[in-house]
Amino acid sequence: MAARELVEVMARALAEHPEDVQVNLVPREHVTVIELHVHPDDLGRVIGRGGRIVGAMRTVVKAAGRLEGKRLLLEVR
Amino acid sequence: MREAEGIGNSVDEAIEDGCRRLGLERSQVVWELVEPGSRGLWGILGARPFRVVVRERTQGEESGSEASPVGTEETVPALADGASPAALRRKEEIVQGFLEAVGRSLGFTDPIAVRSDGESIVAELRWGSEEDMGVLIGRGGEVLDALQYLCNVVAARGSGDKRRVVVDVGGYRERHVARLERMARRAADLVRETGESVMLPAMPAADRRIVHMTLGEAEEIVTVSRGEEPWRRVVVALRGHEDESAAPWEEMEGAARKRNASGTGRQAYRNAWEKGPWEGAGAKGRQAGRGAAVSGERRVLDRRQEWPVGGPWRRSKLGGRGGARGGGGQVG
Repeated sequence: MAARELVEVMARALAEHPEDVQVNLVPREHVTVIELHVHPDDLGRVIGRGGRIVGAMRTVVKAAGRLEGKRLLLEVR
Repeated sequence: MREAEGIGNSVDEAIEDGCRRLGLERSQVVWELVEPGSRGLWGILGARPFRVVVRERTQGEESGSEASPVGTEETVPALADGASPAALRRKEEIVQGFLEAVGRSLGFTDPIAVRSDGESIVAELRWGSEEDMGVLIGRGGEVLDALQYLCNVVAARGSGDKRRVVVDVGGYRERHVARLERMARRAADLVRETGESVMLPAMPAADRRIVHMTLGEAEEIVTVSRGEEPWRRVVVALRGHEDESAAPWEEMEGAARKRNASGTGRQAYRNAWEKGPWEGAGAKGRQAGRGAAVSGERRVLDRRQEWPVGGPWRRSKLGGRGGARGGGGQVG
């Protein structure tokens, strides 16, 4: 699915341990939650100062959802 | 003349390799890029080696023109931030690789064109239909800006080049700048006509810079930024009047929004004034002030003279026209 790949691409580009990037899709009633798991050392790189990086990823993910006509939500675990 | 081919994962490494084969120092050779390789996608996918021809430098040999990347270490002109052409190329490839991978995940397979100048690397996306492009730009360009920010973060790690990355879709950036310039000039005209200051909508720093620069040469007009991110706004005023209160652009344009005229909106607006943003607002104050501070609410408050005594506007001369000048606020 496109959303999973999108999040994987972005997270792998940001992470020092791209091999530890894992993405799960959890469909809920009106929204699909995209759970992003990364190596503990990479949390800061994926979240960014003040959540700026994850905020940018969420914006892109939301737009991807609009392209597909879905509501997507990104969560970093 | 002695020459050798060098191969490596970057132009730098390829030159080093060539030098080793010749047994020469880098300062003793000129080199030419034969085949631009690719670091691939973060060194994983599709990596191809760089190939250069390294030749012993003859007396007085000049480096090639910019068009053909020939040069010695000393004669390749140091770019603004001491970045090398190799670092630039690396950065361009990272940007291109990242955006193409993002595009593929969304089902867009068109290659991405990347061009660079002295200060920026511009990636132009040609993704999907016009409607798709609209989604990719987002409201106020937010999606494009998010992509651009991610590109900058990703590319900054992999190369020493300091150029900023600009991501564009269908010429949006250019149109956006033109729109900002128009808005700035229109605001300046309004200020000249009415003598009242105008506060433009909140916008990011790069956009505010365009406004400041557009009006930088207008003698009688001054522009200042007020408030805190992300609601920082440019105020356009007559010279000497920049510390006075300003009417929101939306209001001056006759587009005051009534939907914020609720009780909570009024309270939120008061909080926004009390706690800042220009007096160092707490997160709560900023949050509360968000909707109201950009609305036409201020005028209503002026008329009703509902400002609490002792607020930052206590020196204001209320009454009068009840217009933009009525409530001269203290602005830090």
